[in-house]
Amino acid sequence: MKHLDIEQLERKNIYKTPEHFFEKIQENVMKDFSENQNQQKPQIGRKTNGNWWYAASFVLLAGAVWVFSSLPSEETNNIVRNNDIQEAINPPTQIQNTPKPETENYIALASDLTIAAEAHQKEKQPATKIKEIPDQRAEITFTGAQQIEQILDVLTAEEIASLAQNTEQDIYLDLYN
Amino acid sequence: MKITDAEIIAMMQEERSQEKGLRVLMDTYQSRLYWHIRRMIVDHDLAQDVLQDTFIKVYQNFHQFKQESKLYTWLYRIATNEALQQLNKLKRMNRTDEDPEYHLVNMVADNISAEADEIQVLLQKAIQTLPEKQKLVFMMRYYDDLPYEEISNIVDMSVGTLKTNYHYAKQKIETYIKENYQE
Repeated sequence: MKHLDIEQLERKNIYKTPEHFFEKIQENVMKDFSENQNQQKPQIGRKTNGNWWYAASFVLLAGAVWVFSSLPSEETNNIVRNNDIQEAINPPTQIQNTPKPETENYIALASDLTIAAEAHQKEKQPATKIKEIPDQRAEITFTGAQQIEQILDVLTAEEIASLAQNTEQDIYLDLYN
Repeated sequence: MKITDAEIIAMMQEERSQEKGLRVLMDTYQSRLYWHIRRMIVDHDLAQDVLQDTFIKVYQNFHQFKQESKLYTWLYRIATNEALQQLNKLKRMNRTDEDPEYHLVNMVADNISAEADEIQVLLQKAIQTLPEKQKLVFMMRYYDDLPYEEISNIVDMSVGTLKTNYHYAKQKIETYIKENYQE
């Protein structure tokens, strides 16, 4: 062969091919396509359900946090309220409280001082500390005059004289407070 | 009635008509793509697998088709990549010392139909002796009659390099046929 120009040759496909192989290829591709579509749909569903689960979980969690965070404060409020009532029923400065033997003298003296000061400051501070407590308390507490009478009944004349000196001092201190 | 590339693209982009679009796309391009792959790989079963993978990649990645090139250019590019990957796999799997090109030349003899002309058989054998890129360029130009600009988009080579490659490929083929043709 001396002269050859492949451009002059006919373009032929010389390889053997089985029959209907394109149909088989299309069938396989469409099968894969359908599987892919079916996989995508449940995935979308799962994704949506997943989002709902996340949202529901978040709401539950937030609710739980809110409940647990609000419970103690309510309890605290209840405790405070109960304490107020307890204080109202049994005020710390009340003479009705039965003092323990070892602190009896101190409590008596402290309450005496307060009461003595009140006696001198009646015009300035007509209301006692007990009166600052809401109306509920006022109903169940004693008035200042009654307290004084009770204390004076217990004290001796000497004790009353020494308290009178303290009273002056209390007034003096009160001026600078 | 012939369906245009624009209509195929429109169908493929719409979820409802994607299945129909894929069928039309396969009907339109399966033959050209198959023979492009087959001439590279020679073996039918492998070519069938590669074409199948090509179409699967086409529908899976159709959203990435920006229409900056023609549809068939994009399809050829995917098919070419898939075929080259398959050839690389074959090379890795080939444990013998046999030269891969020589292996493909031998495969040609096993795959040709009985009616094939000797010169046509020699032409196919000669193509298998070419380096990979030269082979690609020659086949797209010689068999598919693609313009150099389109081939340039598919194989990422300049038009000048493509023309040079085609010229050298043609020379090698003609020399091979002359040397092996028995009158």
